[in-house]
Amino acid sequence: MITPDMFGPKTLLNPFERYSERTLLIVGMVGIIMGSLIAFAFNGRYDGVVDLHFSKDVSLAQPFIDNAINVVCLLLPLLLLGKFINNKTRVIDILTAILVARIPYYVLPVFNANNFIGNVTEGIMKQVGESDAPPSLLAQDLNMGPLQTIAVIVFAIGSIGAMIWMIMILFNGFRTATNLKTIGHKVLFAIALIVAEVLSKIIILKMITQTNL
Amino acid sequence: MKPKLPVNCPSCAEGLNVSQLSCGHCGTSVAGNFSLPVLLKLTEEEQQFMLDFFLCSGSLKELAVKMGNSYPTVRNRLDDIIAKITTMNEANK
Repeated sequence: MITPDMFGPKTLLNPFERYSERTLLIVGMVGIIMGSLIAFAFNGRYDGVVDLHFSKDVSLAQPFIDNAINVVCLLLPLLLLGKFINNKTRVIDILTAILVARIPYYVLPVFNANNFIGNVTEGIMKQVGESDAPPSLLAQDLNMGPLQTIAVIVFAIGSIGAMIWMIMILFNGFRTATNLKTIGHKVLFAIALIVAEVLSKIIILKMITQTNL
Repeated sequence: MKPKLPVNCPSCAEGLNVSQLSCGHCGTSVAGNFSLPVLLKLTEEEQQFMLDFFLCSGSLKELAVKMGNSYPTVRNRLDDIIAKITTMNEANK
């Protein structure tokens, strides 16, 4: 049953304290399927654990493969770290933390309706490539309409917000799964996140260049 | 109101000992210096948690359902209490 409490700040930031692994797994799996379908519909590529880029003619399989790689790349370092911190850490608790944490990211491709953000960013990159102006003056030379500027700013704020939200959910899930307490363990969590980002970036880039997926 | 059993000194925060016990029926008192059992040194919430855990036959899954919390949350709470009791036992040695 849906109650107002389900949308409270505690649930939105740390659902892991309250909900069972079964509920979280179902929500996470539905999230990954919906997120992949949204990315397919709006030409989004999750080319890294904290990345989203837009390209042209994204196939149905690509976002699913991207998401699967991202989940595995997060699972491996976080599970190893979780076992190091507390040997009672369960795979299912780390997995649900990852699946649920990625949900805020799945809404972002909607910004690219009609390839809008993709076209704007492509236009910016083209102007940057053609411009002779030094990087410090480049922003003044960019030829962007007010609508495009507002869209890029809103998308940037939305992306940063989604990234912060995702990391907060992931940290709370990891903390609940491992009973993490010390500052040293928090630093190791940050390092594991960076490792996951690098790992996913390498794998997805290799996949794009070698298999054209 | 049910008075809470104080387990720490309100002045210096050290653990309290029992110095007097009395019979509620005949009024006989026994004076001495008895240390509190470890379980009584836990906070009231921790004691309630341990009692609930015992009444669930030690099943963390059942306790999690009863408390409306997730399994790792309940397990973490138990681990924290175990760590606290271990520290108290080591301090008493």
